[in-house]
Amino acid sequence: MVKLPLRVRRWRRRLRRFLQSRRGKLASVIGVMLLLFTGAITIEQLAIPSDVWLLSCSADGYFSAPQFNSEHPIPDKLTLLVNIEHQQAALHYLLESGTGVTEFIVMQGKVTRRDLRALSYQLALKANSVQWQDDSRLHPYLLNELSYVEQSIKLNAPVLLDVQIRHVDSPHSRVLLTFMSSNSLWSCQVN
Amino acid sequence: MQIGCCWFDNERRLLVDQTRSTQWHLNDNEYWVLTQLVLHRGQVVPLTMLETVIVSGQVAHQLTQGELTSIIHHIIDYLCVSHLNLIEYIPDQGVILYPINQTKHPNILALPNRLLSWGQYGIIIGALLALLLFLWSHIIPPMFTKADVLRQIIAASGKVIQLSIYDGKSPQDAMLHAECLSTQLRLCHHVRWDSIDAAISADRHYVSLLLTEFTETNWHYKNVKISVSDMHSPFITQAWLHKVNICG
Repeated sequence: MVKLPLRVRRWRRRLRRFLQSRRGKLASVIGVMLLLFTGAITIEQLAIPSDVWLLSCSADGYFSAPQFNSEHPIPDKLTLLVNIEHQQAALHYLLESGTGVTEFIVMQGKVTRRDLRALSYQLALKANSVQWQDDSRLHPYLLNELSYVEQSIKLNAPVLLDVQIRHVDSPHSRVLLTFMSSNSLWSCQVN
Repeated sequence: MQIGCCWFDNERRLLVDQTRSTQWHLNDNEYWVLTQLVLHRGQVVPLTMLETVIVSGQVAHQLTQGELTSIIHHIIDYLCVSHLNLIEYIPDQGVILYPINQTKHPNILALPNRLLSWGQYGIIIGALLALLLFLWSHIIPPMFTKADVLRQIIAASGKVIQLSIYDGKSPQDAMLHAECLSTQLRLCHHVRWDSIDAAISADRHYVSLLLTEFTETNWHYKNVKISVSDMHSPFITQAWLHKVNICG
Protein backbone atom coordinates (compact mmCIF):
# COMPACT_ATOMS: atom_id res chain seq x y z
CA MET A 1 0.00 0.00 0.00
CA VAL A 2 1.32 3.41 -0.93
CA LYS A 3 2.30 5.20 2.23
CA LEU A 4 0.96 8.70 2.17
CA PRO A 5 1.38 11.10 5.05
CA LEU A 6 -1.33 10.53 7.58
CA ARG A 7 -2.65 14.04 7.28
CA VAL A 8 -3.10 13.79 3.50
CA ARG A 9 -4.86 10.47 3.87
CA ARG A 10 -7.15 11.87 6.51
CA TRP A 11 -8.04 14.79 4.28
CA ARG A 12 -8.64 12.51 1.31
CA ARG A 13 -10.92 10.41 3.44
CA ARG A 14 -12.80 13.42 4.68
CA LEU A 15 -13.20 14.72 1.12
CA ARG A 16 -14.44 11.37 -0.12
CA ARG A 17 -16.91 11.13 2.72
CA PHE A 18 -18.11 14.66 2.01
CA LEU A 19 -18.52 13.94 -1.69
CA GLN A 20 -20.50 10.81 -0.94
CA SER A 21 -22.89 12.63 1.36
CA ARG A 22 -25.98 14.33 0.02
CA ARG A 23 -24.69 17.74 0.86
CA GLY A 24 -21.45 16.95 -0.91
CA LYS A 25 -23.23 15.78 -4.03
CA LEU A 26 -25.30 18.95 -4.08
CA ALA A 27 -22.19 21.02 -3.58
CA SER A 28 -20.43 19.26 -6.43
CA VAL A 29 -23.39 19.80 -8.77
CA ILE A 30 -23.47 23.50 -7.90
CA GLY A 31 -19.69 23.63 -8.21
CA VAL A 32 -19.83 22.17 -11.71
CA MET A 33 -22.49 24.72 -12.65
CA LEU A 34 -20.38 27.57 -11.34
CA LEU A 35 -17.50 26.23 -13.40
CA LEU A 36 -19.75 26.20 -16.48
CA PHE A 37 -20.85 29.78 -15.78
CA THR A 38 -17.32 31.04 -15.42
CA GLY A 39 -16.21 28.95 -18.39
CA ALA A 40 -18.92 30.45 -20.60
CA ILE A 41 -18.03 33.97 -19.51
CA THR A 42 -14.33 33.36 -20.07
CA ILE A 43 -14.92 31.91 -23.52
CA GLU A 44 -17.10 34.87 -24.38
CA GLN A 45 -14.41 37.24 -23.21
CA LEU A 46 -11.78 35.42 -25.21
CA ALA A 47 -13.94 35.22 -28.32
CA ILE A 48 -14.40 38.98 -28.52
CA PRO A 49 -13.40 40.17 -31.95
CA SER A 50 -11.25 43.19 -32.47
CA ASP A 51 -13.18 46.14 -31.17
CA VAL A 52 -11.63 48.91 -33.19
CA TRP A 53 -13.51 50.39 -36.11
CA LEU A 54 -12.40 53.13 -38.39
CA LEU A 55 -15.08 53.67 -40.98
CA SER A 56 -15.32 56.21 -43.72
CA CYS A 57 -18.59 56.61 -45.50
CA SER A 58 -19.62 58.99 -48.21
CA ALA A 59 -23.00 59.74 -49.69
CA ASP A 60 -24.69 61.85 -52.30
CA GLY A 61 -27.07 64.13 -50.49
CA TYR A 62 -30.15 65.76 -51.95
CA PHE A 63 -31.21 67.81 -48.97
CA SER A 64 -33.15 70.76 -50.32
CA ALA A 65 -36.27 70.79 -52.45
CA PRO A 66 -35.13 73.57 -54.84
CA GLN A 67 -31.89 71.71 -55.39
CA PHE A 68 -33.71 68.51 -56.15
CA ASN A 69 -36.32 70.13 -58.39
CA SER A 70 -33.80 71.33 -60.94
CA GLU A 71 -33.35 69.31 -64.11
CA HIS A 72 -29.98 67.84 -63.23
CA PRO A 73 -29.49 68.29 -59.50
CA ILE A 74 -25.89 68.30 -58.30
CA PRO A 75 -25.75 66.39 -55.05
CA ASP A 76 -23.92 67.55 -51.95
CA LYS A 77 -21.15 65.28 -50.83
CA LEU A 78 -21.78 64.06 -47.32
CA THR A 79 -18.97 62.29 -45.53
CA LEU A 80 -19.26 60.41 -42.27
CA LEU A 81 -16.22 59.19 -40.40
CA VAL A 82 -16.81 56.77 -37.55
CA ASN A 83 -14.08 55.87 -35.13
CA ILE A 84 -14.75 53.39 -32.36
CA GLU A 85 -11.75 52.37 -30.35
CA HIS A 86 -12.63 50.26 -27.31
CA GLN A 87 -14.16 52.82 -24.94
CA GLN A 88 -13.67 55.88 -27.12
CA ALA A 89 -15.86 56.91 -30.00
CA ALA A 90 -15.91 59.79 -32.45
CA LEU A 91 -18.24 60.78 -35.27
CA HIS A 92 -17.32 63.29 -37.87
CA TYR A 93 -19.76 64.68 -40.46
CA LEU A 94 -18.67 66.83 -43.37
CA LEU A 95 -20.87 68.39 -46.01
CA GLU A 96 -19.29 69.58 -49.22
CA SER A 97 -21.40 71.53 -51.64
CA GLY A 98 -19.94 73.24 -54.68
CA THR A 99 -16.82 74.94 -53.49
CA GLY A 100 -15.71 72.86 -50.52
CA VAL A 101 -16.58 71.87 -47.00
CA THR A 102 -19.37 74.16 -45.93
CA GLU A 103 -20.66 72.46 -42.82
CA PHE A 104 -19.28 70.01 -40.33
CA ILE A 105 -19.67 68.63 -36.87
CA VAL A 106 -17.23 66.64 -34.76
CA MET A 107 -18.61 64.59 -31.92
CA GLN A 108 -16.47 62.76 -29.44
CA GLY A 109 -17.26 60.68 -26.41
CA LYS A 110 -17.51 57.26 -24.97
CA VAL A 111 -18.96 53.88 -25.78
CA THR A 112 -21.48 53.39 -22.99
CA ARG A 113 -22.75 49.97 -23.99
CA ARG A 114 -21.74 47.39 -26.51
CA ASP A 115 -23.07 44.11 -27.73
CA LEU A 116 -20.24 42.47 -29.57
CA ARG A 117 -22.34 39.67 -31.00
CA ALA A 118 -24.83 42.06 -32.54
CA LEU A 119 -22.01 44.57 -33.14
CA SER A 120 -24.18 47.29 -31.71
CA TYR A 121 -22.83 50.22 -29.77
CA GLN A 122 -24.41 52.86 -27.60
CA LEU A 123 -22.46 56.05 -27.79
CA ALA A 124 -22.58 59.08 -25.53
CA LEU A 125 -20.97 61.88 -27.48
CA LYS A 126 -20.52 65.61 -27.21
CA ALA A 127 -20.44 68.06 -30.08
CA ASN A 128 -16.89 69.35 -29.91
CA SER A 129 -16.79 71.42 -33.00
CA VAL A 130 -19.70 72.67 -35.07
CA GLN A 131 -20.14 74.77 -38.16
CA TRP A 132 -23.55 75.34 -39.72
CA GLN A 133 -24.51 77.61 -42.61
CA ASP A 134 -27.39 79.98 -42.19
CA ASP A 135 -29.64 77.88 -44.36
CA SER A 136 -28.16 74.63 -43.12
CA ARG A 137 -28.64 71.40 -45.03
CA LEU A 138 -26.64 69.21 -42.73
CA HIS A 139 -28.30 70.30 -39.51
CA PRO A 140 -31.86 69.14 -40.31
CA TYR A 141 -30.43 65.94 -41.72
CA LEU A 142 -28.51 65.28 -38.51
CA LEU A 143 -31.52 66.07 -36.34
CA ASN A 144 -33.14 63.20 -38.20
CA GLU A 145 -30.21 60.83 -38.35
CA LEU A 146 -29.22 61.26 -34.71
CA SER A 147 -32.90 61.31 -33.64
CA TYR A 148 -32.11 64.47 -31.77
CA VAL A 149 -34.77 65.59 -29.34
CA GLU A 150 -33.81 69.25 -28.94
CA GLN A 151 -34.47 71.92 -31.56
CA SER A 152 -30.85 72.32 -32.54
CA ILE A 153 -27.44 70.74 -32.06
CA LYS A 154 -25.22 73.31 -30.38
CA LEU A 155 -21.59 73.24 -29.33
CA ASN A 156 -21.00 70.90 -26.36
CA ALA A 157 -24.49 69.46 -26.74
CA PRO A 158 -24.72 65.84 -25.61
CA VAL A 159 -25.64 63.30 -28.29
CA LEU A 160 -26.82 59.78 -27.47
CA LEU A 161 -26.71 57.24 -30.24
CA ASP A 162 -27.33 53.58 -30.96
CA VAL A 163 -25.48 52.28 -33.96
CA GLN A 164 -25.22 48.77 -35.31
CA ILE A 165 -22.79 47.28 -37.76
CA ARG A 166 -25.27 45.09 -39.51
CA HIS A 167 -23.30 43.43 -42.21
CA VAL A 168 -19.57 42.98 -42.65
CA ASP A 169 -18.30 42.33 -46.13
CA SER A 170 -14.74 41.36 -45.30
CA PRO A 171 -13.43 40.68 -48.83
CA HIS A 172 -14.37 44.18 -49.91
CA SER A 173 -13.72 45.87 -46.55
CA ARG A 174 -17.22 47.25 -46.39
CA VAL A 175 -19.71 47.33 -43.57
CA LEU A 176 -23.34 48.28 -43.37
CA LEU A 177 -23.93 50.74 -40.56
CA THR A 178 -27.37 51.50 -39.16
CA PHE A 179 -28.48 54.22 -36.85
CA MET A 180 -30.97 52.25 -34.83
CA SER A 181 -33.40 54.93 -33.75
CA SER A 182 -33.58 56.82 -37.05
CA ASN A 183 -33.28 53.76 -39.32
CA SER A 184 -30.60 55.50 -41.35
CA LEU A 185 -28.39 53.29 -43.51
CA TRP A 186 -24.76 53.76 -44.49
CA SER A 187 -22.36 51.59 -46.41
CA CYS A 188 -18.87 52.35 -45.17
CA GLN A 189 -15.33 51.57 -46.11
CA VAL A 190 -13.33 49.89 -43.34
CA ASN A 191 -9.92 51.48 -42.99
CA MET B 1 -12.91 -14.91 0.05
CA GLN B 2 -13.07 -12.12 -2.50
CA ILE B 3 -14.07 -8.62 -1.45
CA GLY B 4 -13.92 -6.35 -4.48
CA CYS B 5 -10.39 -6.51 -5.77
CA CYS B 6 -9.04 -7.84 -2.46
CA TRP B 7 -8.71 -11.36 -1.27
CA PHE B 8 -9.62 -11.84 2.38
CA ASP B 9 -7.43 -14.60 3.79
CA ASN B 10 -9.33 -15.73 6.85
CA GLU B 11 -6.60 -18.12 8.03
CA ARG B 12 -3.69 -15.73 7.97
CA ARG B 13 -5.76 -12.61 8.73
CA LEU B 14 -4.63 -10.93 5.57
CA LEU B 15 -6.33 -8.60 3.17
CA VAL B 16 -4.48 -8.97 -0.12
CA ASP B 17 -4.87 -6.40 -2.84
CA GLN B 18 -4.23 -8.35 -6.02
CA THR B 19 -4.09 -5.39 -8.35
CA ARG B 20 -1.46 -3.55 -6.37
CA SER B 21 0.17 -6.69 -4.94
CA THR B 22 0.02 -5.36 -1.42
CA GLN B 23 -1.20 -7.01 1.70
CA TRP B 24 -2.52 -5.78 4.99
CA HIS B 25 -2.04 -7.71 8.19
CA LEU B 26 -5.23 -7.16 10.09
CA ASN B 27 -5.00 -6.71 13.83
CA ASP B 28 -7.58 -8.16 16.19
CA ASN B 29 -9.97 -5.23 15.97
CA GLU B 30 -9.76 -4.89 12.19
CA TYR B 31 -10.12 -8.64 11.73
CA TRP B 32 -13.18 -8.66 13.96
CA VAL B 33 -14.92 -5.87 12.05
CA LEU B 34 -14.19 -7.39 8.65
CA THR B 35 -15.25 -10.89 9.75
CA GLN B 36 -18.54 -9.56 11.04
CA LEU B 37 -19.17 -7.75 7.77
CA VAL B 38 -18.34 -10.87 5.78
CA LEU B 39 -20.57 -13.05 7.96
CA HIS B 40 -23.48 -10.67 7.48
CA ARG B 41 -22.78 -9.82 3.90
CA GLY B 42 -25.70 -7.92 2.35
CA GLN B 43 -27.05 -6.86 5.73
CA VAL B 44 -26.52 -3.77 7.83
CA VAL B 45 -24.34 -4.71 10.78
CA PRO B 46 -25.20 -2.45 13.74
CA LEU B 47 -22.38 -0.35 15.13
CA THR B 48 -23.05 -1.67 18.63
CA MET B 49 -22.32 -5.17 17.39
CA LEU B 50 -19.07 -4.13 15.77
CA GLU B 51 -17.95 -2.15 18.79
CA THR B 52 -17.89 -5.23 20.98
CA VAL B 53 -14.81 -7.14 19.91
CA ILE B 54 -14.86 -10.82 20.87
CA VAL B 55 -11.58 -12.55 20.25
CA SER B 56 -11.39 -16.24 21.09
CA GLY B 57 -9.59 -16.85 24.34
CA GLN B 58 -9.86 -13.26 25.44
CA VAL B 59 -12.35 -11.15 27.28
CA ALA B 60 -14.58 -9.07 25.02
CA HIS B 61 -13.54 -5.44 24.85
CA GLN B 62 -15.20 -2.30 23.57
CA LEU B 63 -14.00 -0.06 20.76
CA THR B 64 -14.66 3.64 20.92
CA GLN B 65 -16.75 5.07 18.13
CA GLY B 66 -13.69 6.92 16.82
CA GLU B 67 -11.64 3.76 16.62
CA LEU B 68 -14.44 1.92 14.87
CA THR B 69 -15.04 4.60 12.23
CA SER B 70 -11.32 4.85 11.68
CA ILE B 71 -11.14 1.08 11.04
CA ILE B 72 -14.16 1.19 8.71
CA HIS B 73 -12.74 4.05 6.67
CA HIS B 74 -9.39 2.35 6.57
CA ILE B 75 -11.01 -0.73 5.09
CA ILE B 76 -13.01 1.35 2.60
CA ASP B 77 -9.86 3.20 1.61
CA TYR B 78 -7.98 -0.04 1.08
CA LEU B 79 -10.46 -1.23 -1.52
CA CYS B 80 -9.74 -0.18 -5.10
CA VAL B 81 -11.43 2.88 -6.47
CA SER B 82 -13.87 0.82 -8.53
CA HIS B 83 -15.01 -1.02 -5.41
CA LEU B 84 -15.31 1.94 -3.11
CA ASN B 85 -19.04 1.51 -2.82
CA LEU B 86 -18.77 -2.08 -1.75
CA ILE B 87 -18.76 -1.12 1.91
CA GLU B 88 -21.10 1.59 3.04
CA TYR B 89 -20.91 3.30 6.36
CA ILE B 90 -24.22 4.61 7.60
CA PRO B 91 -23.41 7.04 10.40
CA ASP B 92 -25.00 6.18 13.77
CA GLN B 93 -26.56 3.07 12.24
CA GLY B 94 -24.19 0.47 10.99
CA VAL B 95 -22.09 -0.79 8.14
CA ILE B 96 -23.05 -2.90 5.17
CA LEU B 97 -20.88 -5.01 2.92
CA TYR B 98 -22.74 -5.48 -0.32
CA PRO B 99 -22.80 -8.98 -1.79
CA ILE B 100 -21.63 -7.76 -5.21
CA ASN B 101 -20.20 -4.49 -6.34
CA GLN B 102 -23.31 -2.38 -6.16
CA THR B 103 -23.82 -0.02 -9.02
CA LYS B 104 -24.67 3.28 -7.47
CA HIS B 105 -26.46 4.43 -10.57
CA PRO B 106 -30.17 4.08 -10.10
CA ASN B 107 -32.58 3.64 -12.93
CA ILE B 108 -32.69 6.83 -14.91
CA LEU B 109 -36.46 6.75 -14.80
CA ALA B 110 -36.55 6.51 -11.03
CA LEU B 111 -37.97 9.59 -9.39
CA PRO B 112 -35.27 12.03 -8.41
CA ASN B 113 -36.66 12.45 -4.95
CA ARG B 114 -35.51 8.94 -4.21
CA LEU B 115 -31.99 10.30 -4.14
CA LEU B 116 -32.57 13.90 -3.20
CA SER B 117 -35.01 15.74 -1.06
CA TRP B 118 -37.52 17.96 -2.84
CA GLY B 119 -35.63 21.00 -1.61
CA GLN B 120 -32.32 19.84 -3.03
CA TYR B 121 -34.03 18.73 -6.23
CA GLY B 122 -35.60 22.18 -6.47
CA ILE B 123 -32.25 23.90 -5.97
CA ILE B 124 -30.65 21.84 -8.73
CA ILE B 125 -33.52 22.42 -11.15
CA GLY B 126 -33.50 26.12 -10.29
CA ALA B 127 -29.78 26.37 -10.84
CA LEU B 128 -30.12 24.48 -14.14
CA LEU B 129 -32.86 26.84 -15.28
CA ALA B 130 -30.71 29.82 -14.32
CA LEU B 131 -27.82 28.34 -16.29
CA LEU B 132 -30.10 27.70 -19.24
CA LEU B 133 -31.42 31.27 -19.19
CA PHE B 134 -27.89 32.57 -18.88
CA LEU B 135 -26.69 30.52 -21.82
CA TRP B 136 -29.82 31.34 -23.81
CA SER B 137 -29.29 35.05 -23.35
CA HIS B 138 -25.74 34.59 -24.62
CA ILE B 139 -26.53 32.27 -27.48
CA ILE B 140 -29.56 33.80 -29.20
CA PRO B 141 -28.47 35.37 -32.43
CA PRO B 142 -28.39 39.15 -32.53
CA MET B 143 -31.62 40.70 -33.59
CA PHE B 144 -30.94 41.99 -37.04
CA THR B 145 -33.45 44.34 -38.48
CA LYS B 146 -35.06 42.46 -41.29
CA ALA B 147 -36.15 44.17 -44.43
CA ASP B 148 -39.86 44.98 -44.43
CA VAL B 149 -40.10 44.31 -48.14
CA LEU B 150 -37.78 42.07 -50.15
CA ARG B 151 -38.21 41.82 -53.90
CA GLN B 152 -36.46 40.76 -57.03
CA ILE B 153 -37.17 42.94 -60.00
CA ILE B 154 -36.36 42.21 -63.61
CA ALA B 155 -35.50 45.43 -65.37
CA ALA B 156 -36.19 46.14 -69.04
CA SER B 157 -32.65 45.01 -69.90
CA GLY B 158 -33.27 41.66 -68.23
CA LYS B 159 -31.12 42.44 -65.25
CA VAL B 160 -32.28 41.13 -61.89
CA ILE B 161 -32.28 43.74 -59.15
CA GLN B 162 -32.61 42.88 -55.49
CA LEU B 163 -34.77 45.39 -53.67
CA SER B 164 -34.96 45.68 -49.87
CA ILE B 165 -36.98 48.31 -48.07
CA TYR B 166 -36.47 48.99 -44.38
CA ASP B 167 -39.08 50.89 -42.45
CA GLY B 168 -39.32 50.39 -38.74
CA LYS B 169 -42.45 52.53 -38.37
CA SER B 170 -44.97 51.89 -41.10
CA PRO B 171 -45.12 48.73 -43.22
CA GLN B 172 -47.80 50.40 -45.40
CA ASP B 173 -45.34 53.07 -46.47
CA ALA B 174 -42.72 50.41 -47.13
CA MET B 175 -45.17 48.53 -49.34
CA LEU B 176 -46.23 51.69 -51.14
CA HIS B 177 -42.69 52.75 -51.96
CA ALA B 178 -41.62 49.21 -52.84
CA GLU B 179 -44.50 49.09 -55.30
CA CYS B 180 -43.57 52.46 -56.81
CA LEU B 181 -39.89 51.65 -56.97
CA SER B 182 -40.40 48.26 -58.61
CA THR B 183 -42.85 49.65 -61.18
CA GLN B 184 -40.49 52.46 -62.10
CA LEU B 185 -37.42 50.21 -62.12
CA ARG B 186 -39.07 47.86 -64.60
CA LEU B 187 -39.47 50.78 -66.97
CA CYS B 188 -35.79 51.73 -66.74
CA HIS B 189 -33.70 50.99 -69.81
CA HIS B 190 -30.46 50.80 -68.01
CA VAL B 191 -29.89 50.17 -64.35
CA ARG B 192 -26.31 49.94 -63.19
CA TRP B 193 -27.09 48.57 -59.73
CA ASP B 194 -27.65 44.96 -58.72
CA SER B 195 -29.00 45.62 -55.29
CA ILE B 196 -30.96 48.54 -53.90
CA ASP B 197 -31.54 48.97 -50.18
CA ALA B 198 -33.82 51.77 -49.08
CA ALA B 199 -34.37 52.82 -45.48
CA ILE B 200 -37.11 55.26 -44.59
CA SER B 201 -36.13 57.43 -41.68
CA ALA B 202 -38.06 57.29 -38.43
CA ASP B 203 -39.11 60.94 -38.66
CA ARG B 204 -40.25 60.30 -42.26
CA HIS B 205 -38.30 63.15 -43.81
CA TYR B 206 -35.43 61.26 -45.40
CA VAL B 207 -34.70 58.17 -47.43
CA SER B 208 -31.32 56.43 -47.23
CA LEU B 209 -30.48 54.52 -50.37
CA LEU B 210 -27.69 52.03 -50.62
CA LEU B 211 -26.90 51.06 -54.19
CA THR B 212 -24.60 48.13 -54.87
CA GLU B 213 -23.12 46.93 -58.10
CA PHE B 214 -21.52 43.51 -58.19
CA THR B 215 -18.76 43.19 -60.73
CA GLU B 216 -16.41 40.28 -61.02
CA THR B 217 -13.47 42.18 -59.66
CA ASN B 218 -15.07 44.49 -57.13
CA TRP B 219 -18.29 45.66 -55.62
CA HIS B 220 -19.28 49.26 -56.03
CA TYR B 221 -21.31 50.96 -53.38
CA LYS B 222 -23.08 54.25 -53.34
CA ASN B 223 -24.94 55.93 -50.52
CA VAL B 224 -27.66 58.40 -51.38
CA LYS B 225 -29.55 60.53 -48.86
CA ILE B 226 -32.66 62.30 -50.05
CA SER B 227 -35.02 64.55 -48.21
CA VAL B 228 -38.65 63.80 -48.97
CA SER B 229 -41.43 66.26 -48.27
CA ASP B 230 -44.30 63.80 -47.95
CA MET B 231 -43.45 60.21 -47.18
CA HIS B 232 -47.06 59.00 -47.32
CA SER B 233 -47.52 59.81 -51.00
CA PRO B 234 -45.76 58.04 -53.84
CA PHE B 235 -42.81 60.25 -54.76
CA ILE B 236 -40.76 57.84 -56.85
CA THR B 237 -41.11 58.63 -60.55
CA GLN B 238 -38.95 58.02 -63.61
CA ALA B 239 -37.58 61.55 -63.27
CA TRP B 240 -36.76 60.92 -59.61
CA LEU B 241 -34.86 57.73 -60.46
CA HIS B 242 -32.91 59.60 -63.13
CA LYS B 243 -32.09 62.42 -60.75
CA VAL B 244 -30.63 60.13 -58.10
CA ASN B 245 -28.74 58.16 -60.75
CA ILE B 246 -30.51 54.88 -60.21
CA CYS B 247 -31.79 54.91 -63.75
CA GLY B 248 -29.86 55.69 -66.89
